[in-house]
Amino acid sequence: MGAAENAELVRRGYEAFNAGDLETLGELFAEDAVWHAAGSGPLSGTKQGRDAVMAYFGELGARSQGSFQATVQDVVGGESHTVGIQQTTAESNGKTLDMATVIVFVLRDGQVVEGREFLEDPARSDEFWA
Amino acid sequence: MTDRDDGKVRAMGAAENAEVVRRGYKAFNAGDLSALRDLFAENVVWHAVGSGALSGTKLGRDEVLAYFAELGEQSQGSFRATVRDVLGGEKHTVGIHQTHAESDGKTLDMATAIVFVLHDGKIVEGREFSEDSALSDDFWT
Repeated sequence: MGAAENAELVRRGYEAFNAGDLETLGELFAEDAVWHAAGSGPLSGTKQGRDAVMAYFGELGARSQGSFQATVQDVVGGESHTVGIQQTTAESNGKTLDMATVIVFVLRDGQVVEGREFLEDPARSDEFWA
Repeated sequence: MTDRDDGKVRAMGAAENAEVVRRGYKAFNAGDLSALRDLFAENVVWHAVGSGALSGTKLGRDEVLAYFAELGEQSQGSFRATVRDVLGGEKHTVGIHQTHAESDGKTLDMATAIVFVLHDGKIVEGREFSEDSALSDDFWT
């Protein structure tokens, strides 16, 4: 699959994520997908396998009373990586998270096999989820 | 000009922007701030990641170059940005690199992404993203 197709798949992933449609989202991930959640907070670290990745996405929603949104600014497709640039917003117990975020995806055969989050200030995100 | 020609022009711009960013990494790692300066617009804005001593927004080429020099000085010249990939898009050029620095027995080794905006072949904006800037905040303290 080419860079443009991979970028399109990542855009579909954002759409499903923001709609809370974890079933559609799950179909875009390989069974052995690995996800690296940024920072050193309670949700940070490596999630191994599609089930663990989807459980993590579910937690983001559950712990923000469903307010978590990843507003896409751009998706850039390359040969080895596909990069999503997004604004992350969430609210929880009077706290607000509003942070520019980058996710570096690796796709194989039209499925996400790896995702790595990068934040403009991971420490601030850790505080939000604490 | 046909739509297809238009598309080709845009695609070439993305490749050229990626090439400028790769040249920037090379100059940065060589400590060649003069070559680096040529790649930045005078009114460039740079957003340094995290909440540490060197974090925050740098306004203008002089401030951005001074920031880069600080990274080198405070790590006794050990700061390296090892490029993993550079992606050229229509609006953004993205650099993915491994940041490595050593200082006073401390080691920083962290995956980093930079989102660049280029206009007319010059960098007008850069925004750093890290997987765990608490590490870098501690390092630069």
